[in-house]
Amino acid sequence: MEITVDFCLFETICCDIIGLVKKERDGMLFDIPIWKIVIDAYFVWVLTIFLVKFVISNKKMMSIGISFLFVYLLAYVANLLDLLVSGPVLAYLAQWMPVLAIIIMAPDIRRSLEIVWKADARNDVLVMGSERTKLCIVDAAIYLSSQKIGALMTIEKHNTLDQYSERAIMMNSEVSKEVLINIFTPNTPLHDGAVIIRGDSILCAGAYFVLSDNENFDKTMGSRHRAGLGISEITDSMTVIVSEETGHISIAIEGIMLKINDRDKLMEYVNMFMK
Amino acid sequence: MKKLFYMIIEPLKSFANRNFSEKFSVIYHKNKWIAYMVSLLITVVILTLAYVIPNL
Repeated sequence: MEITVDFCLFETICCDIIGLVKKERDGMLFDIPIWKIVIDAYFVWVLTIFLVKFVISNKKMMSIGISFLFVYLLAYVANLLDLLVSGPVLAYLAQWMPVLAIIIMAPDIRRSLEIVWKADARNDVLVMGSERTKLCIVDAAIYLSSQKIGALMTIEKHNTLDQYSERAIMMNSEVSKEVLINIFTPNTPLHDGAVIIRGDSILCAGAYFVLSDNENFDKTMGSRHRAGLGISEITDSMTVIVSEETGHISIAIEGIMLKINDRDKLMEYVNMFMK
Repeated sequence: MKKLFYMIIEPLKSFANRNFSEKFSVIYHKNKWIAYMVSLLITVVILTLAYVIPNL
């Protein structure tokens, strides 16, 4: 009996496929003109590329995206197993998650959309600074620290920082210890904000970043440190921060802040990051 | 054993601690074409769900 049922199923599938092939000959597939399906597929592909790039452009967005996938997977499994309690709860959660994400991630969504619409040509070829640039950054940080002059120097890597530089003062000058010191000298027009370093050049000065909302962050740290940490949370850049109050040097990378008061240690981190 | 126990008790946390977004970010920046391939794969799945399965 079972064999007959299986055979019937096999026969049905074969008939379906033969039917589809016959229809395909008439320029139809699933009773829909093939050209319509091709256009539909193209539109879906274009929208999916946009969505994938949108999610990938920001690490926070990607974390949210992965959490979404996880919840949808759980909801699917719960639905498949017809679970009485977790099934409806997860289905409800899955239904409302996009709305929740829009509310929670509104600023990040705006930034990611800005990135997606930009040409990302720069990121195709990664150019990190030369040995001279590394030395200039370290020497400048050490000097500024000794003089207790606050500084924020962000070194760009894969993730473009164009959206921040556009609102800052463009410089496009070669990195040098003297220029960096001059930028951060108090009571000068450029001293407030961050310097963005791309390869061997200072892209801009006076850039403002979104402050980190990390709950575990030391409350005594100022907004300069919070800004450095904030940019390290959403991009793969490294930021060298010099405290105005204490003269301590810190680096922010991957959402972590490390205090460094040793020239060699700073050089080691800069070397590791810019290799 | 401890990891397995941890995974059973707190699956969400252990899943989050694996730092998937960081790994995906590194892979994507090394291979830009991955975004297009992933999009193509998602498109195929969507179209299969929309066209093929209801007509079987």
